[in-house]
Amino acid sequence: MSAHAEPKIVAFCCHYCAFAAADLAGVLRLKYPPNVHIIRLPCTGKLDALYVLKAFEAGADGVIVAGCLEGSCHFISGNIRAKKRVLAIKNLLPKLGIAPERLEFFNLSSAQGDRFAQIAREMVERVRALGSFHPAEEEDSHDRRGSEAHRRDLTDAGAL
Amino acid sequence: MKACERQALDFTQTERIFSLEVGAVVLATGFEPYDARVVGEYGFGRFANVLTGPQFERLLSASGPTMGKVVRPSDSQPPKKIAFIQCVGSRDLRHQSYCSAVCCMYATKEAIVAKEHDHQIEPTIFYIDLRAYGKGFESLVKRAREEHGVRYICSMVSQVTEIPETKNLLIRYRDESGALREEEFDLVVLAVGMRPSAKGQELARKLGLELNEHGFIKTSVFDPVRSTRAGVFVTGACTGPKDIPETVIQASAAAAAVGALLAPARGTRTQTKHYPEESVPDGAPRIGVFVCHCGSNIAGVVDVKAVAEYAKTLPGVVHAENVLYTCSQDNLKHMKEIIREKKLNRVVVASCTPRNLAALFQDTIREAGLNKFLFEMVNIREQCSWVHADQPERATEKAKRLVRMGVAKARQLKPLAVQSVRIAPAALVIGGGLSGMVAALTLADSGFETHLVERRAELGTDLLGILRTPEGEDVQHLRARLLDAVRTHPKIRVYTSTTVQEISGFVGNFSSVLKGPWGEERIQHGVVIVATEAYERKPSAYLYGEDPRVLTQRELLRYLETGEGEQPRRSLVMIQCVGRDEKRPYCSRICCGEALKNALALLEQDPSRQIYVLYREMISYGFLEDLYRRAREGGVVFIRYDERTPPVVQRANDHLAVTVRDARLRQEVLIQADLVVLSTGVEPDPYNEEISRLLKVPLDAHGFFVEAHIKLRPVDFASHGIFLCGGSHAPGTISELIAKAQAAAGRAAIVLAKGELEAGGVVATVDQEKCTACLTCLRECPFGAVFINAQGLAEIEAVKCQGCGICAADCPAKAIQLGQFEDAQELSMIEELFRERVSAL
Repeated sequence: MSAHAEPKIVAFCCHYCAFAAADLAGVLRLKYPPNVHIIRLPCTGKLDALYVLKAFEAGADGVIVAGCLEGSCHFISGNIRAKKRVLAIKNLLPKLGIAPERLEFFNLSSAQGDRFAQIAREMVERVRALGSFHPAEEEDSHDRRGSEAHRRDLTDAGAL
Repeated sequence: MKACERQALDFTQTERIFSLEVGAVVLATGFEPYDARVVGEYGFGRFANVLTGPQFERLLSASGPTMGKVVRPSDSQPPKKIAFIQCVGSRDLRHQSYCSAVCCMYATKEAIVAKEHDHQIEPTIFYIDLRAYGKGFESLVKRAREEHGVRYICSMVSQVTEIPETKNLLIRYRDESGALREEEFDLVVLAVGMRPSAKGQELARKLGLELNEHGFIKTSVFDPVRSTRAGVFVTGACTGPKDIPETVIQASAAAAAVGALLAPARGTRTQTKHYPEESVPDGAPRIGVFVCHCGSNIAGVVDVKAVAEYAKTLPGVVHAENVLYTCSQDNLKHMKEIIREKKLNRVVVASCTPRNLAALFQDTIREAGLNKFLFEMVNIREQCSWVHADQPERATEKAKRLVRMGVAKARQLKPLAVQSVRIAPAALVIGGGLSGMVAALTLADSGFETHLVERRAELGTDLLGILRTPEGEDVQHLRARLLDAVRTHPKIRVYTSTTVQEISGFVGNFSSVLKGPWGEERIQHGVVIVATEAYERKPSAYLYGEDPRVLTQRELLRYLETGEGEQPRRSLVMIQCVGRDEKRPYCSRICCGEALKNALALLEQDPSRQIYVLYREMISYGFLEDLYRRAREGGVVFIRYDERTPPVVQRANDHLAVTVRDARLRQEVLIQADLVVLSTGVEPDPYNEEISRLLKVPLDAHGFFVEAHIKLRPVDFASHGIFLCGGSHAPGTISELIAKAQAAAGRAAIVLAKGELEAGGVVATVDQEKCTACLTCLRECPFGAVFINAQGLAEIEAVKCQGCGICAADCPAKAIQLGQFEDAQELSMIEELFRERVSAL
């Protein structure tokens, strides 16, 4: 692994809040590193554990999941489901040799453009400190069955 | 003009006069904040660190002058101690006599937000009465006090002076014990109230509308959105101070009133847009990519030409170009030509956020014969050029990656079907009180058949026993008028002593079973309005039920109306907020107005009567403040008590002994009363639990229904096609309940007036081959869209599905896919993002 490389971050954002907050960050001309890439979901409740695992498998150094503030999810409870799911995935990550700090769930409203930029900056810093992530090289214990198999583990464990 | 590359600006334009033929006019001219300079003693305009509430709000805003950093204007230093002074220009005969109704809560909110921005800040709010009377306000104030440490001081501030050296401000006030105190603050925020807008008044005069004594546009209590001129409706703060939910309610109510008035003309001047038949994409993807310059917004940072050239190299792309403005009319035309010419079957636009213009581009490709879901939008403005302006090369690389992801998704896109579903053109209104009757009449006047169901034997029982509103309007006359109108309206069917047994179906097509003394009947309807009311709570304290001299306000009314019952002789004590405790902490909003009205009526009968009102906060918001003043002038004694030390009522020989600790004097006061009248507040109809279960709509901890959004969607439930009004949404005055009922009817009429609705598109579907009927989706769907079909497998009602995808992510068998967000589509984006890296390994 190479500590100086620019870490790559995927941010799964819900359409109504986090994605809108990211838009507002742009409107306000706030700055954050260009290695944060946003993938829009209708709701964080749509976030499949597979997406997170696939992201790490494909080469992400960090994953942000960002949904509405608790109590104001456009789909009532999707963000609560997502939070639990992310927690379950975080618990699984060490078994795959991935530091759980590489994945984080955030709540923010569509008016919090500044917070989105701050989250993006902080996550890049956090992941940079951990070093870029390379599953194949990083851990002996790395389970090479692939992301689909891990998702099944989570499901079987009743975590999802 | 030079800056606009499109040459879209025409500076030779001058004022033009238009002539429009309309059937109705709605005025929503709003208010002006009170000019704080006029209240000289607080030093606004003279002292640098005295701001108004609206100015402070801007200071807190991320898009404000300091990007949300709270600093003092004098030295740009963060303030520590901030004082909010309430009632600036309001409740003051030198300025405006009424209460501006919103300032207590906006100051509370600003104090919390300031504290959240900077934990060092210590906010103090100086208030006269803390008017936290709206839904959820009580708990917000509690949180402000307990969690955020906001200090509330009940006191009128007499003067603010500036300390010249520090520009700090010295506030002189009398504390609750009456002692004069001085305290130094770093910043002072004046909670200025609302006053009528001068421009609005001018327009009202031109239209020949009457103004009320405060200069707002005049309306009547029973017709809150109608002006004094037929066909001209008014809404919002131009009729008096109002907060956001009240304003939104009035806006829907005004729209409903117009809708009813113009019902015969509905649809006569509209045009239907026709689209060409959609071609079904067969064979390989043929993708067109349009990369937008957005003038210099994107092209000033990102090398858009390079991005378009790069797009051409991606699999499936047969056309890519960079365009000055993708959304301009001439380009939309060009896009349609390219789609036909190059036989495109997928389109990707890389420009601004899809939240702005996706619908426009989807409509454009539809006009060119493509299914509108064969479209993907890539955000290279808000989420690229605008946030990475300092790194143009890396921004260009990012734009390429984002386009690569968008194209990958586009390759996987599938056309989605949208069906038209016919709507049953009828409404079910549950609850035949004031709100139910008004809602039914509004819908019926708009031309829709309405079933009005009441479980009690008669309609309007909530109005029984109320003679007049605090404003003096005759409530029994209103009740008689509504009963007559409802009974004789050809479009309304009234069912009394009837309950709803069952409701199935979804927006546009509900099917319900009603059960009454006549048996059972099934009805079909497109919408539901829940209009149950709130009722006076029966107290269990203060000797109520044990001593005939202890009454509720409603029972006192019986004496005032008929002269029957206990006589209020010389001395009478009213106790406010009875039964308001941990379990029912909310303010019932109407009791203070009712108490003031009754006190004034008693004094009118016999001015020598001695009346005491024991209160926690007098909630005489808006124009009710005038009644509060009149009562004080008439000799009513108001004694504030702390909720921790409520009054005590004991039986004495020939009177009732009321002991209360006066929060202002800080001593006990003993009153000999002939009669004690309890203001007990209201509680929601217990029947709500049954309705909540039937309709699967939520109730809060106190038994009130929970709306879709407390501020912006106050009369909608989150589930489509179901609306709410009445006291079971939240307590309100008769005038407020009427507006709310009209609003709910107006929202419901929008659904019914369409005649049909679209179902499908971005909805979830279950692969029946994979489903194991584990019921996870059934449990997790927040909208009740999942049902178990005849085969015993899960199926999703497309009309009910809101497209969140929770079920798809939860499904252990991966049997559920959400249209336009299918797993294969999402995963291909993730893979494409890291393609360079993977290939480099």
